Amino acid sequence: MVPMSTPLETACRATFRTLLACFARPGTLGRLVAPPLAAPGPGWWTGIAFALLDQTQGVALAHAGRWRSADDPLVRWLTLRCHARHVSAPQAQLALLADPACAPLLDELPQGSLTYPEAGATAVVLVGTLACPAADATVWQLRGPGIAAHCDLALDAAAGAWLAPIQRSRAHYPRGIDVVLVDQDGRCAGLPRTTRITERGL
Amino acid sequence: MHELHYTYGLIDEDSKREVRRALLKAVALPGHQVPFASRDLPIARGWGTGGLQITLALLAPEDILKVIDQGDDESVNAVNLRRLIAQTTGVALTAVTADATVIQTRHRIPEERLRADQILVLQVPMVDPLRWVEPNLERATVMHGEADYGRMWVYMYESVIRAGDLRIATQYPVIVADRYLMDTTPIPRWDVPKLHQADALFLFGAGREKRIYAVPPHTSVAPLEFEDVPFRVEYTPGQCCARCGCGDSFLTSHAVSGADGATRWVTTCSDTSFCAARQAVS
Ligand SMILES: [Zn+2]
Repeated sequence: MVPMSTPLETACRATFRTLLACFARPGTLGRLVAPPLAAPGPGWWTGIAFALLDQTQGVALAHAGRWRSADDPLVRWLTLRCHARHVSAPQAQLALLADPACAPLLDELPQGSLTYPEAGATAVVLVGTLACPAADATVWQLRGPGIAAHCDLALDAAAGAWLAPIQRSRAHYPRGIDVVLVDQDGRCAGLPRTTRITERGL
Repeated sequence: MHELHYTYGLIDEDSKREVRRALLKAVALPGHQVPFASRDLPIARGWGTGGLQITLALLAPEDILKVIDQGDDESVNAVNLRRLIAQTTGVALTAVTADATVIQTRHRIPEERLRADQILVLQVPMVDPLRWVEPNLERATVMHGEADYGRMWVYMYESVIRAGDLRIATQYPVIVADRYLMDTTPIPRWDVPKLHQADALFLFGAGREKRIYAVPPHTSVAPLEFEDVPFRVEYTPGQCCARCGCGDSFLTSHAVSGADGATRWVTTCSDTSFCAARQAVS
């Protein structure tokens, strides 16, 4: 008898494979799945949390330009169900930043050291849409490993606030922060610290 | 008779999660060695446990897996690994490179160019190219952090002067994405150019040394070389495969006993499924 994955394990594996594909090919859109369980917050975030968090990991969440406190319901649910530790931003391995007002907070996350750059955080950034009609879009041109020459990523105009903090987060490679952009529908794009971004006028 | 009961993918979810986190950081830092807590598995370390843990963390039931050792799908090591993985995941198996979604390998990269939807998992026995010049792992880690590779260049140049050629036949050192010095595992020099600006994703696992590293697609992989002594792949002009006639693949020689009891050396493609496909069409 071949063993079967539980539905939660299946969702974690699918989430990981999507993130791996998006980090390997920055700018290529993936689609995150929600695990089959009731949770506060978006389902795709629950999938990322279960795929990456456990008792060894520190997590920090921000919305409306502020870090959420330990008694926030979403924080409490994560620490209880994923066993993650709620930590201050400079200690976080994983962070969720929920709106453009949080963009300056990206600077507070750890970038790792020259010897251990993998200690740099993974930041999940929620944007309005990654399937933006061309006329309204902010377009970022991406270059770096995983991209043949260059590629374009179209985001909603408000997401433009993230450009400068993301650029700052990779000014000292190999130290840096790896970013996953996710939209309301669970579409996602990886911007690992190797990806160089410039804004492109239409 | 009792049936053995495994969890899906053999290793527990906590271990998979740790391997997955290390893989994401490895892809974000091309060529950098990310430490992970390598688990004990029912095969001996040194027989592909690093690659196996990556494969098990990746595989979904809908994947199609190929396992090769020395280019050969039917070697004992490849057969044992394949059986273990199939028993614990139920994935479909193939020997045909083009049909596979995940390929686990030691020693070779398949001859056919891999596609964007394929992942190659390499088993790594010796992880750090700096071991030639700095046996202390902690000091080597600091050297990587500072991109302090001067001693490695000197070592390579001295080996050129001594031997007239770059002596390192396998585990050839390369610079990945203009930053990290990386070992190319025991693949022959023939396969090293396949890592450069590839379409597929390459993941490397060292079980004994507990390190994971990666080369994403479309990434620069440059062998260490000198203006007067450029990097060269192994190639003997005029030599070709005794089975399929290919003169443009990596060849290996093995002893064959003839009907008269005498032993002869026969040279054939190291990639057996590539060779079989060429024989089938000719
Ligand atoms: Zn042949």
